[in-house]
Amino acid sequence: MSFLDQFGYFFQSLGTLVINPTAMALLFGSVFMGIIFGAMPGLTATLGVALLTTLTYGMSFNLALIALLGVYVGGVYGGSYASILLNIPGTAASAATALDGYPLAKQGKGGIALGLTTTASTIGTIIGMMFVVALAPMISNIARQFTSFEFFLLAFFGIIISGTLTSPDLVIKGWIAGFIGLFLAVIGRDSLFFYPRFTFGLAELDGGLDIVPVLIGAFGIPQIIQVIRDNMKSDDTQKLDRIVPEWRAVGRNIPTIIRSSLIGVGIGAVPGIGEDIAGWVSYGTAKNSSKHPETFGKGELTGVIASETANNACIGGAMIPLLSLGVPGSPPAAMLLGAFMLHGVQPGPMLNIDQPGFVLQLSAILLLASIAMYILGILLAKQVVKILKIPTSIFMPVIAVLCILGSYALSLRVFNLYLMVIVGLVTFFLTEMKYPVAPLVIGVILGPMADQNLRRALLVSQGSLAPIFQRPVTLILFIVIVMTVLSQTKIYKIAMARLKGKFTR
Amino acid sequence: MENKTTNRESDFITSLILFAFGAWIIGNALQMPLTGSLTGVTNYWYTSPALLPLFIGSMLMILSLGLFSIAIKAGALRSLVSRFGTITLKISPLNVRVVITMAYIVGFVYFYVPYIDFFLNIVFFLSVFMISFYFENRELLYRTALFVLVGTLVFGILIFSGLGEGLTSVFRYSLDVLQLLHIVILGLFTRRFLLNDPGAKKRQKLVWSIAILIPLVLIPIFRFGLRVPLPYEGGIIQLLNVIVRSLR
Repeated sequence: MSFLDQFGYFFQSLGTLVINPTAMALLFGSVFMGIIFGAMPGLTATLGVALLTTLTYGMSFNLALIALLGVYVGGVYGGSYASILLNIPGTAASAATALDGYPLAKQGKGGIALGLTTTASTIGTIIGMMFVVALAPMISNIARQFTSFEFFLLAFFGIIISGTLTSPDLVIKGWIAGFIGLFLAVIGRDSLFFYPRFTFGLAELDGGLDIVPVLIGAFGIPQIIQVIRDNMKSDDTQKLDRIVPEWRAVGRNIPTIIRSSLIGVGIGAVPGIGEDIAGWVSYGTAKNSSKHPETFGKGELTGVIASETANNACIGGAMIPLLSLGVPGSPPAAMLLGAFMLHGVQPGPMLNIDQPGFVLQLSAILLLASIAMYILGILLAKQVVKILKIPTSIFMPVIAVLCILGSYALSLRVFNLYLMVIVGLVTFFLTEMKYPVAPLVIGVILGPMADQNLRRALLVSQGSLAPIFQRPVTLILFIVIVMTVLSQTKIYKIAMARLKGKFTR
Repeated sequence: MENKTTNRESDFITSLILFAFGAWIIGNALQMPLTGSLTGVTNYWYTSPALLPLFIGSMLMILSLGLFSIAIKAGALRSLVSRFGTITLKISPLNVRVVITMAYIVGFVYFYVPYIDFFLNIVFFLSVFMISFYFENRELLYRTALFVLVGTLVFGILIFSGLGEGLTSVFRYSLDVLQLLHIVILGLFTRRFLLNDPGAKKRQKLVWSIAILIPLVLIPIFRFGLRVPLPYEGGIIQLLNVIVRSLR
């Protein structure tokens, strides 16, 4: 498609959606649901997407896409409510927002803070969407030159980088989580010889583990247990006046917005690391580049803008590798990948060939979702705050029921419920021991891609690993993986410290 | 600092478990065909179904050794040995909440969902959960958990011994009736327990309203809207079926 054709198709998709009342009602409804999921401590955008995957399975793919993207966009933004009003991040993505959002709320400026986060999130989503339109087709074109070695190393890179960057304790734990996820992915009959692997003679495991119950188990069950254990209370919120979109503050912070958007998109494009890292990195960068860093943490508007712009721009960033390579850029994107596959859409380099215009259609939905998020955020913030006051001991059991229904409804197998509970309990213990969940999920999602491509690659090269060093992309990926692993070793750190010392003398 | 020590102690133990897990994966993978002919097709090591499992098992063993060495260097073994005689099972209120929550979820999914009417199961699950945690009364939490444990054991014996099948052959919805009785007894017990709590009456109404309203909303959406057959459709769902058919 030429540039003008793409432009025309984008606005045609936009127009088709706007004049469709069902689509618009679904969009606003799902964005609102996403905001609730994001706002409630203990619920996440990923869980919202996971639960909605089941509910939207019977819908047409276009309507399902609207609902899922709406929940994703609303969920990432919604975390700012609890961050600002309760000083409890609604989602990990909004953790940095609490640092300046809550002090603002304590100063009686909760309405200004929420108005800022609403505006910043909208701008961040739109900028992220623009990068999707610009970069995804370009990367797809490059990826069509990839062979099986590239795809295997890409999958492996996704697991390693996700483990490296998301581990709250030791990096080695992130890698272990990734390999546990890979193990879960190999359960079932292999695709080449149909040989049963780790099925223990159970027919239910022959087809492998279903993605949705595994993801619901990994994200839902540990959250339910943790929230009930910690007995989180959301009833002492700060007072909220009128939501005021502070356009002057936005205007003064244009450089911050542009920088934060770039950070969000860049971090989102790296497999598996997601919105929480984007928020923190952007906040830290804004603080370090500020002329008055001492004001951060005391109600600095720039801090709120930086965090929220980045975490919403990350949505677009996460879509880029998802659409162009079939590698999710964040945990909610991993859930979206599962939903796409359920609807028979295979993201990856062939997406633009098999479904031309899909990227533009998705971008149109992202644009409308960000507008819906803005409207709902400004108009319905007080209603969301009322919902925040529902005790966790009331809504968490309801979420548990939704998790059970969500895991069962897709394949109608009670076995999936057993699986969800086992995965959930194991993940709970792993998170208690400071193992990250994201690499485990990435391992489960990318495992089949890694397995098939590794064996296919070696079949073509007749067992030789030489092509890794003969092809530029595989060589780069290989070097990056090796450097990422080596950078965590003591020898490397000592060597780097000595090198740094030589240059600074 | 104490948190870090506790982390390393648990890392020491988990590294051993993970090492064993990696070894188990390799053991299983070595039983898969590595060479020769498989389903009439020549199999090489690089196309073997064992390839990725061997890689995963090896990596888990190597990484667990790394974790083990970090834990040892941080003094985890010394710390565990020094506390060996004094280790007591910490039953803090938080741990109790964790165990009870897990028990409710496991019991619900493994003992109730496949065998009893799903509507009644949701009512039971929601009411048990909310009664245990919403009233913030430790005595009520323990008693409710005990009540649920006893009830689950009874149902477990009925179901897994085959007695349940016998009962359902006599009357199809006998397990549903037992579950309904279970719920009613829970309600009466809670009411009696909280008789002297003036604010509890309103809360109990809220709990039971939510416990009944949620399945009344969800089940029609899934069963009749999305046309998803539910895990077990007993008396109540069949009744809803009859009502919906007569309305159509």
